[in-house]
Formats: sequence, C-alpha cells, structure tokens
Amino acid sequence: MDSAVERRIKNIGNTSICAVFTCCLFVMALLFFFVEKREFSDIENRELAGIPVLWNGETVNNSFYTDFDRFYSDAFPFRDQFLLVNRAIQTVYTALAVPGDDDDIVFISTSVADMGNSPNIGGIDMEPGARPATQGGGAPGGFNGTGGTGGPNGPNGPNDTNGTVGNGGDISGVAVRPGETGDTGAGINNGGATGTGADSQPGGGASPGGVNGGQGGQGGQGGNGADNGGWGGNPGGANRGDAINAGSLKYDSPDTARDWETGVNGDRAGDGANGGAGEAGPEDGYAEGHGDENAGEGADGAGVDNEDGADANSGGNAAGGSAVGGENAGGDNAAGGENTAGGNNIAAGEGVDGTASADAPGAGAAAQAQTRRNDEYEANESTGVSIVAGQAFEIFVFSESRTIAYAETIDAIAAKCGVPAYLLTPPSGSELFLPEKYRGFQNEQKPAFNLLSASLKNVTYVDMYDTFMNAKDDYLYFKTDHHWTADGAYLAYERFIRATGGAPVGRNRMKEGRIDDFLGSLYRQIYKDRHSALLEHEPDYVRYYEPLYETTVTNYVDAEMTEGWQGAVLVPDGDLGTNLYNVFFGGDMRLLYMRSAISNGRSILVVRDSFGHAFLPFLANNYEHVYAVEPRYFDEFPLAQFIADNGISELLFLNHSILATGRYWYNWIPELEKLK
Amino acid sequence: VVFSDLTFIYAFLPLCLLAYWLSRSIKVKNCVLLAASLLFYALCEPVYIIIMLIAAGSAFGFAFLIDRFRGARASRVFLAVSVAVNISFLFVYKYAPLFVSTAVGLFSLKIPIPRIHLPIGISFYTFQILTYTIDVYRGKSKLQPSPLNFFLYVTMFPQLLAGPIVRYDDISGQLENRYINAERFASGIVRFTCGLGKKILFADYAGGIAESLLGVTPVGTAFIGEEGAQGALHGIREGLGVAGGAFAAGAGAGGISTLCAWLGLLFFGFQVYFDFSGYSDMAIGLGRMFGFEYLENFKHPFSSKSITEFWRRWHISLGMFFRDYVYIPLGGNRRYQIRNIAVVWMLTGLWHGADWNFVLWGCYFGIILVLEKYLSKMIRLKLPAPVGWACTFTVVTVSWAIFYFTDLATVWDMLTAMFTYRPERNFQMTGIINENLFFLAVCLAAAMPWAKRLYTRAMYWGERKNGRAAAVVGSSLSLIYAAAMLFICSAVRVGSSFSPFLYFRF
Repeated sequence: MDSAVERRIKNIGNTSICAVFTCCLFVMALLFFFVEKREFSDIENRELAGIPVLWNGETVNNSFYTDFDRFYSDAFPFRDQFLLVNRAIQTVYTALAVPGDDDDIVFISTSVADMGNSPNIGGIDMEPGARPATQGGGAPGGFNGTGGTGGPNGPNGPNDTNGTVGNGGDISGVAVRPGETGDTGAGINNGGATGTGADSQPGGGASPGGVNGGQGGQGGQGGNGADNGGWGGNPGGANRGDAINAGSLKYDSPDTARDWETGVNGDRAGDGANGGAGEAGPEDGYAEGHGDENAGEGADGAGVDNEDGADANSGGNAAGGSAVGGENAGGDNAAGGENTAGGNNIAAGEGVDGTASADAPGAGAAAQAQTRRNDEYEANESTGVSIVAGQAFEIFVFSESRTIAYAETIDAIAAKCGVPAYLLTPPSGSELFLPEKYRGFQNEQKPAFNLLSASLKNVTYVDMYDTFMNAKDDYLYFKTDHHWTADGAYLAYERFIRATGGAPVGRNRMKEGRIDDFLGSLYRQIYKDRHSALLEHEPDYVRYYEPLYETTVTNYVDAEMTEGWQGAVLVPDGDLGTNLYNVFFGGDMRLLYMRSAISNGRSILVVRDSFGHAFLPFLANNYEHVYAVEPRYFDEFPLAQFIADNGISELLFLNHSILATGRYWYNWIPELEKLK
Repeated sequence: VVFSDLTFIYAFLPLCLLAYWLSRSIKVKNCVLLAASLLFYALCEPVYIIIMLIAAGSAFGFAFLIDRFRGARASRVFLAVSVAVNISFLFVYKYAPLFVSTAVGLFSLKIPIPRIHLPIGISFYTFQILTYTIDVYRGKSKLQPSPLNFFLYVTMFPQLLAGPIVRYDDISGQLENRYINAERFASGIVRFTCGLGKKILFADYAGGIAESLLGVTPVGTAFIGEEGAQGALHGIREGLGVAGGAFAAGAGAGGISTLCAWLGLLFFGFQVYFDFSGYSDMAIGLGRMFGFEYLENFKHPFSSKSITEFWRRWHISLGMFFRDYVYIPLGGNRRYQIRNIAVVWMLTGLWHGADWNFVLWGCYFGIILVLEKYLSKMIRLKLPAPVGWACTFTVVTVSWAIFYFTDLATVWDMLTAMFTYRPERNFQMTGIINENLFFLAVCLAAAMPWAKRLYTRAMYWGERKNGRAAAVVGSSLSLIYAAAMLFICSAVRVGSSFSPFLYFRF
C-alpha cells in the first residue's frame, strides 16, 4: 500500500543522484575556465603543465591528449584542496598500514624520480654522497637520478622526445672538477636532453641529472626543467670544487619559494664575505655559468672576481643563455648572490656548448659513470631510508675491499705526515636502530671495524663502537637526518680526547642552545613519499654546545691560507634554511681554522666529512689551533707540507663508517688520495 | 583516454551528455554519440583510427553482399573474405611481430622484426565486428542498413577500448530505440563511480605493490606510465626503482623469494581484476547514461569454487564469444571435443597478449578445465566449498605467474620460487610486505560479493519491516556512495598522473 510513496521516495533519491553527479561534472567543467592557471605548485614543489599544442607546425602532436590531460589535472579547480584530501587519504592508509609494533620497519627506497624535485638535490649539505663534484651527487645518496621526468615544456624541446628521460640519472659520474669543463659539458647535455623533451613530464627530470653536480646543468638545458633542473644544479654549484664561488644555494625565487637549504658556501655569499662567482676563474665550469648573474651581482659587491666570471659567461650564455640561463639569471637568482646560479646557468651555458641534443640523452655521462665505479664499490647507490618507530636511518652494507683501501690510504698519508694520527668513525644508524629481527638484512659493523683497525699501522683507531652501542637509546643521531647530533659527536670527542691522553671537558660545563623543528636530510630524501608523514610527527631538534673558550673561526679558500673570511663556530641566527645542521659553522667549509683562547699551544688537523660539523666545536676545549680540511673541495692538498708549515702536532681522520667501510654512498678514497 | 582521467570525467563526459540531451530525435542522438566516440578514439589514436574505420567499413559493405547472396555459395565466400580482412588487421597489427620474431628465432632468418604500433582496442572492436558479419550470415541478425547505426555500434566509446565485447545481436534494437529515466540514469552513475573506485582506489594501488614485489613491469605494457605517479602508487611504485635490490645486503641475487612471489601475484591478480572489472563497470554505467544496456562482464570471479565457474564469471563476454564463434562451430562437445577445447584456450591465451607465455597461460587453463571436467565425472567427488574455493584461488594465482612474465625463463624462476622455499633476503621487500598485507585483506573483501549480499539482504529485510524507511535509507546510501566515490577518486586523481588501463594491451 505504501508502494506509491516508496516509489516517490526512490524517484527523489534517483533524481538527486543524477542532479548531484551532473552538477559536479558541469560545475567543475565550468569552473575550469575561470580558475587561474598557475605555473607552479607549491604543495608539490613542481612546475605545472601548460596548454599543449596540437599542431607544432609540421605534425600533429601525438601526445596531445596526454599532455592535455596533464594540463587539465594541473589546472583543476580546487587543486590544492584536492591534494590535501589526497594527502589525508594517504596518511590514513599509512596509519592503517604501518604496523603499530615498534619493531616493525618501513622501508623506502630512495626513489630516483622523487629526487628530481627533492629540495635536497644537489647534496646541499655536502655530505658524502651528496657531493656533486665527483659523483653525480644526488641527494643524500647522490644516486643517479634516474630521471625524474623532464620538465614541462622544454623550451628547446625538439618536438617530442618523450620525456622518458631517465637519463639524467646515470650521469652520475661525471667528474667535474673545477676546470674540467669539458666533462661537465657532457653531463649537462644529458640533462638537457632530458629536460628538453617537449613531452616532458612534470617534474623536472632534469634535476636528477642535475644531480651530478654542478652539472646540474642539465636542468638548464632542459629549459623548462629549468626550474627543476636548475635546482639540481645549484647545489651542485655550491659543492663544486670551487665552492666558494658558489654563493648561496638558497633558492629564493618568489614562485618557487621553497625552503632551500642554504648552501654551504652560500652563507658566505650571503655574508658578502666572499660572494661572487667569478673566482673559479674563467676556465672553470662555474665561472662560465655564473657569468651574467655575477656580473649583476658585482654591483652588490659580492663577487670577488666577477670580472672573470663575467667574461666567461658571456661565452656561456651567449650560447646557452637562451635556454634557461635567462630565466634563472633573471630575476631570482641574481639578487645578493642568492642563487649561485652556478648550477643553473652553467647548465645553460655549457649545455649548449656541449651540443645538447635531445636525442642523445646521457650516453656519454652514463658511460663515464660506469668507469667510475670499481668492481665492488657502488657509488651513488642509495641504500634507501628505513624507518623504525619514527627513527630514520640507512642500511649499512659492508665492503671489504673498500675498508682495506681506506685503511691503506690514510695509513700512507699518516706515514708521510709523521705526526700521531687517529681515526674516528662512528657506527651507522642501522647498527644502532635496526630491530633485532631484521639484523639479518644488514651487515654487522663490528667485523668491519675490526678489519679497519687491524689494517692500520700508523694510525690509532679510536674505538667508539661499544660506547655508541651502550648509549644507543640516547639522542646520538637525528631521527630525520643522517648526521649525528652534538651529543653523538660529544661521545666521540670524549673517546678521542681520552685516546690522546687528554681530559675531555664535561658537557654540562658548556653553554648549550637548541633549535627546534628540524626535518633533516633523510626526511628530505623521502619527503614526497607518503611515509614522510611518519617523520613529521616528531621533528628533530638541534642542540649545540659552545666551546668553553673564546674561539674565532677563519674559513680559507686555499691551502696556502692566503685568502679567507671570518666565520663563527655556531650560527644559530644565520640563515639556515631547512638544514639546521648547518648551525655548526654555517655548513661545509673547505679549510677551516679555529683558534681557541685556551692558548695551550696544541694544534690538530682534522680531515673530515660533514660529521665534522657537530664534532669540531668540542676540540676548541682542548686545542688552541684546530685546522679542518674537507678534501672534497680541493683538487689537491699537500697535507704533509701543510702540517710542517703550520707546525701541527696531531692528525685526525673523521669519517662516517659508511664512507670508510661501506659499499655504497660516496667514494672517499679518491678524495683522500688528494692529500698524499 | 581513460575513463578515470579528469579530462574525461569533467570535460568530455559533461559536454557529451549536454549535446546528447539537447538533441531530440534518436537519429541526432546517435550522430552525437558517434561523433563523440570518434573524437574519443581519435584522441587515443589520431592516426590508427583509420584502421578501425576501414575494418568497420569493410564489414558493413560485406554484410550487404552476404545478405544479398543469402543461400548461395557466394554468401559464404563473402563471409570468409570479410572475416579474413578483419582478422588480418588484428593479425598484422597485433601478432606480426611475435610470429616474425619467432620465425627469425627458429630458422635464424635475417629479416628485421617489424615494429608495429598496436592500435588501442583492436582486439575488442575486431571481435565486435565479427559478431555482426557472422550473425548476419547465420541469419541471426538483420542487416543494418544505416552506416550511422553500424559505426555507432562499433565505435561506441563506453566499450570501445576495453570491452565488454558487445554483440551486435544484443544491442541492435537499442541502436534505434532506447529510453532513459532517472532510475536508469542514477543506476548508471552508481555503476560508473563504483568502477572508478575499483580502478583508482584498488587496481592502481594493488598494481604498485605487485610491481614492487615482483620486481618488473609487466613486459609490453604501457601500464606503468613513464612518469611516476604522485598518487597513492607513487612511493611504492618507485620503490621498485631498485629492482632486484641494488643494495640487498649480502646476497641480493638468488631470485625472488617465496613470500614475495606469492604475495606479488596475489596483488597482481587483484590488480587485473579491479582494473578490468572496474573498466567494465564504468562502461556499463556510461552505457546506461546513454540508454544502452550491456551484459555483465564480471560476476565476482574470485568467489568461484571451481575453475569452470571462474571462467563463467571472469570476462564473460570473451568466453561467450569463443564459445559461440569458435567452440561450437568447430563441433563443440559433439566432435573432437579435446581439439576444440585446445583451440579455444590457445586462442583465449593468445588474445590476451602477443607472446607465447599467454598461449601457455591459455593452455594451463584449458588443461585444468579438462581435468576438472573428467575428474568430477570419474570420481564424483564433491569438495567442500571452502576447499574448492581455496584450490580455485590458488590455481588462478599460479596462473598469474605465467601471465605476468613474457620471458619463459622468468616464469620458470617464479614457479620455482613458489613451490620450493626461498627465504626473503631483501630488506626492502619485508618492509613493503609488512605494510601492505592488510590491503590484501581489503582487496579480497572487496572482490567477494559480501558487501553486495549484505546490502541486498538488509534492504530485503528493511523493506518488509518498513518500506518507506528502507527506501529512504537505500536512496541516501546510493547517493552518498556515488558522491563519495566521485569525490575521493577525483582527489586521488588530481595530482596523480597517467595510469592507463591494463587491458588496453589486449
């Protein structure tokens, strides 16, 4: 009897379904025409696709629909809101999916494509893997970025070279030392190719290419990848051998405003201390790149040798400028030496020289990359990021040959120097944090250390293994960064000072400070992955200790210490960008001299990597003169000579154990060879 | 163009609906649909659309001749020619590379292996065209005098690219006479959004996991777009970048582990199911929006308790095609039944892809079906339902090993891994498994008819208790379901990139 009413109800229901559905469709379709078309998505940190062309003058664009769909979804109404919903869904999934058990692990391989846009790209903080100059320094692992995806609309883009780029990736090994412009060129091209593909996809494949360091050039060529690629580039620039020139890495353009790291060198530029690009000299890849900008900057008084740079550039830009150079140079970078430009422009310039052609992606570079690898050692490979209960770390994979080579190298150096030498190498995060049940997946580090110490004759191995393992519940490593904390470094300091027969200063005697909300390199490496949410819950904080004694810092450019500028042990008020670990000294310095008011006449030289940042300040409590050299930034560094000239009495090698004994990451041996 | 593209949902579809509603007569409506369908296909295949048009045009013409000479020998000749033309298109564009390369391998010839572009949907529309010519010859279907209607039948965009394979006979009436009301339109919407959810929320994600675990992209597919999606898939898909575990501590080599192999194939099975049945759902839903009623293509195949039942529920339109146009004409079960079964299953396999592993896959099912048939006759053993289900599910899962890898050596390696014990050595995999195991349960629950059954029963119960309340609840549930699906899928889709349907390659 109710059937008539029921039918009516159902009818209303059906009608409303039809109405809601069709309204959604029509409203969105209409809105699409009125929505402002943006060029950059802040949320995703990438360029958005533009309207594709159907007819490119000669043929029909075969991928028109695909391109159009990309454009349509990139310009979709309420896109940002939808993305937030998307992110929320992913977070829910992650929450559901990740086992609550503290012992369970999430593993994220460092996805290469991801790195394309990762702010981390050029290995900003110079860590071992990130080092561009010799390895394609991708993000913290410096892996070859296989490709992001080319950037949208490569200006040079020959018709459609599918942006399938991946090539960027393999570029890895292009060693670019300052001066070796040629290689660079090659690298660049690849990237260029990549980026260029008209068909390129959003995402700046270029970048990965960029990875290679300054060569980042890739991006440049890629044109559109422009931005992205460029990014890769910049850091590169910074890292490059002539870092100095680099200027700040901070990528500060309005539309891409992301929190770029402050480049290592960048600070200096920022500080106006050294600034400018030109230094490297005309023959240097950098210089070329920079040209225009620096010239511009010169005005600001930043560039030391701008002139040179400028000249060089003119060459570079003339050719390549067209591509990206223009863009980067243009607005954003120039100012205040903010954007080294190094990377980008170079790219532009050199890419061009190098005959960037979209057709020959990466071959050369890839080949080179190959040759760079020795049999066992795998440069630029990531071991991925593992997360256990909010703690991120990388897996350790042992390499016997590498360990022996490392020991032999430092042994030879120490023998030549003739002063007491020590080696400090902290155990890796995986040794500390990998739950028992997954132990089988990684190599134990203890045997690695045993082998290391057994192979050393002239160097005293300072064993920190047990100290670290006993204190593994303390905050020795950051949760989201691969570096150790100042507390971790303090343990090492204690062990080291005791090993030299001195008396370490108690932690509580030093004034401490702290900066909150630090999401570090491992986070940046995976920040696009939904698992990054797991690290966001509990960001790190950076604690730092001030040396007991008044300490001055001078950062030198050259081994002769003829040119340098004033630095500081701690720069909590500096422009750190997202990389708060740079609170120590403001980042990587090629040759750092620290003079402490302790005035006891003791002096030490530390050959270090980025783990030195947190460690060195403690040494000011025991040594009047502390010299710290980053071999990566030098073509060669006559260590024995340097020690003799400066009357240094002790030598310390400080490297992360993954560099000293691991199979992946950055190959440190060639860097050490420079010291011989 | 895929139905889950934003461009399709929010631009193509509304425009198409609008034009359709604005047109009055059925003839104009058909014109609109045909134009839309041609545009739809042209967007996918701007060049190869010509092949579809030639194929359809030739069939249309030959049908006249077949009809004209009905009863005479000539009719048969024309049928043969027409079928040959259509099959040859399929053969050249889909199978030529396979046969040439096989010949080159076997006889060490020195001819270049042709690189031919496979036009999207050719496997589907070729079969649709065949049903028309053959049915006209058989007198089962009437000649279609209007090229408009015939081309509309062939090219209709809802089912053009990935089925279901609609038979001319089933739909000929609807070409000239169909009606739409709110109820049908609404059911079309619900169906469409359901398919959308299957594709975007299940298939893509399961696919990402499967790929990570199995380590390779299925060969010859465009399935994984070259740009890594930023959508849900992203992390996991990219995870695969390290295929083979570049860093696997200790022994990375040694092949895939037992656990990875099984789980990977389970996920892959769900991917294929959700992808394909989602597409069919969307096709059926879209069809209803325009007044067409297509037959079901999937009926919860993973709930089957025997392989025979599985194939009655899986890709039904394909099974029916082979039954009616190959198996029965060959003699069915009256003559040479074994030969007929063998032919049908080899063809079924080959239809799925131009590679020998697909033939093997077809044979695998053929053999199991024959075994099932004879064993059940001989032993008369009736398995308890759960056992039957488990066996079926296992057999199907194993079949994906053959389906997934076109390289037979890899297939063998997979099978070895599945049936001997190989410990997990790759750390990364452990993480992926840990994390996504629950999704396997979700997939299984979604693939079974449980939710549907529950809903039907609840509604039945409710209607007896209180008809009005049940109507209100039922209507609002449908509304919420459709709206939520559309919203969530759009959200996932925005910012994620290209993910073509798996079945495009067939």
